[in-house]
Amino acid sequence: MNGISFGQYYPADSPIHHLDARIKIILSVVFIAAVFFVKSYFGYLVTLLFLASVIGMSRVPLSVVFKTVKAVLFLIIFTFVLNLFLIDEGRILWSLWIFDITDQAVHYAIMMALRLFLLITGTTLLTLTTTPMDLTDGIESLMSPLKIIKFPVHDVALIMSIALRFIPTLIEETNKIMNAQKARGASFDHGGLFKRAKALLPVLIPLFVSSIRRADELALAMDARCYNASPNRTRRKVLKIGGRDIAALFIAAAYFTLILLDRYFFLSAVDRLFFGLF
Amino acid sequence: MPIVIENLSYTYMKKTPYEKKALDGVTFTIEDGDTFGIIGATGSGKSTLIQHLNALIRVTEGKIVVNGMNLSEKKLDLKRLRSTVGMVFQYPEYQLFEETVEKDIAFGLKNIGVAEAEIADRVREAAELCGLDFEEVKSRSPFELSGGQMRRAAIAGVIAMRPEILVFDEPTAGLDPRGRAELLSLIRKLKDSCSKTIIMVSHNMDEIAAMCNRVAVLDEGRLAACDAPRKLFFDETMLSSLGLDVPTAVKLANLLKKRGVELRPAMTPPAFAEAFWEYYIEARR
Repeated sequence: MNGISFGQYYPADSPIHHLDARIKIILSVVFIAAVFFVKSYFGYLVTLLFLASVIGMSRVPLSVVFKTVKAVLFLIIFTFVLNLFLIDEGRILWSLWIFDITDQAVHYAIMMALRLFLLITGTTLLTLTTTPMDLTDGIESLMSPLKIIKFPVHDVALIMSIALRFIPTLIEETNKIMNAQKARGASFDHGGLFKRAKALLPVLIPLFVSSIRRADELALAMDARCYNASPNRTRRKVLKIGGRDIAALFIAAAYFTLILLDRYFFLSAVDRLFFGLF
Repeated sequence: MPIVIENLSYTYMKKTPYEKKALDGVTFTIEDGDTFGIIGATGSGKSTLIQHLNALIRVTEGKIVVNGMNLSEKKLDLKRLRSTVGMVFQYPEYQLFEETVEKDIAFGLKNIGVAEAEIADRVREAAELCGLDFEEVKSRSPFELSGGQMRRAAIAGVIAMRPEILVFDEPTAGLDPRGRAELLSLIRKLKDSCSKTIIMVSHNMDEIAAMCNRVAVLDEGRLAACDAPRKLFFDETMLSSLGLDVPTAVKLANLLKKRGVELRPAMTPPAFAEAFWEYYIEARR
């Protein structure tokens, strides 16, 4: 079950944890955009350093961050190999049977792998340092302009927070049911794919039954307390932008500018300067 | 053969900020034929302890031997262990899943590889032992049964494996008084007919006092006491310091004591009535 909990909130007392959730969401989007603009090794170096310093500041141990990367390592390697063999442009460095490896392919494969790695690590950092509740509050607040077109922002946020709230409960429930079936001699880690999938039925059916029961109980409990998604609801925890958040925005803006400059102005000149061999 | 637990410790989510020591150097022995109670406040490690008994949680520190099987061994025969130690979890009815009651009870038997011909007999036997009208319920969906019947069907699914040791986690949780009484008499019946050793976890001291011959008290993962109920259940100060209650009969006797009425010690309502009657006769003389 530990595999499911990757990207789970990691409690720590750090400047990154204390950032406003909205700012963190915006910064994550900026970071994703920036990574797509990066086309040079210099750009990747800057991004790596930026990310490394954010991880350092967040006080989340590297081992926890890389647990997520480990989960998608296969994807990264797969993309790398695919790119390596499928790109034909450029000077041939090495050839084997029908496959040619060109210098362009090597570049491209390395960059794609780096890009995936950076995207995954960067976005994980958001969920590692933000509680699910803050995250949904942030999303709700960011989506609030949509209220103008009568989009039910609050309801969507509520659905999201309920879903997030019940993930640990469901994991716990799954564990309980799995234990109960294991105690009756069921095994979940033997046999082929089909057999394993079938072995999950005794877990899934009770899980569905209890989820439906739980949903029903929750709805009743909310009704009993006269819950309604009126626009006049007040919050216990009001999101506030502070000096720290402004500073974070500026740092991110500086980083993004550097990436754009590298892409459109230096035109990878730094790469040629330092890595003359390419 | 008895269950020997030596110096058992267990830590959840090691090396993370969620790290929590659930068991800490627990040592005791459960003899054959015991009805063994495990009590303790919420979070004292009862569930972690019983999940060790059939290797749902593998031993990491310390040692457990069940019927001669050393649970620390890497190549443990899990099927044999799990058919030796039957585990009835809290709200066992939540583990029902098959289309029919008959199939659900047979689930464990199929898993441990019992011959098809034998399965049918054992399923019927288990269902009837658990007080189900097998002919009536066998082809019904377990989800159509009443709450009490569902619990019996789930217990039958464990009994069908003929475990020598039967572990109950809060067996009477969520039942009404009559349901409780019926379940406790079912446990007694099971002890006489199929599982000679019973281990039960409960918050209800009256049940433990009425059922068990030995009791282990857990407190924050440590073994606070392990003794016969009559040695433990009269010590209201000790029990309440561990967040536990004394049986109702003892509570009543203690209240009477404050009024100067000193009864012979009694843990269960019938014993209390007996003791009170003795006192009454004595006083009238």
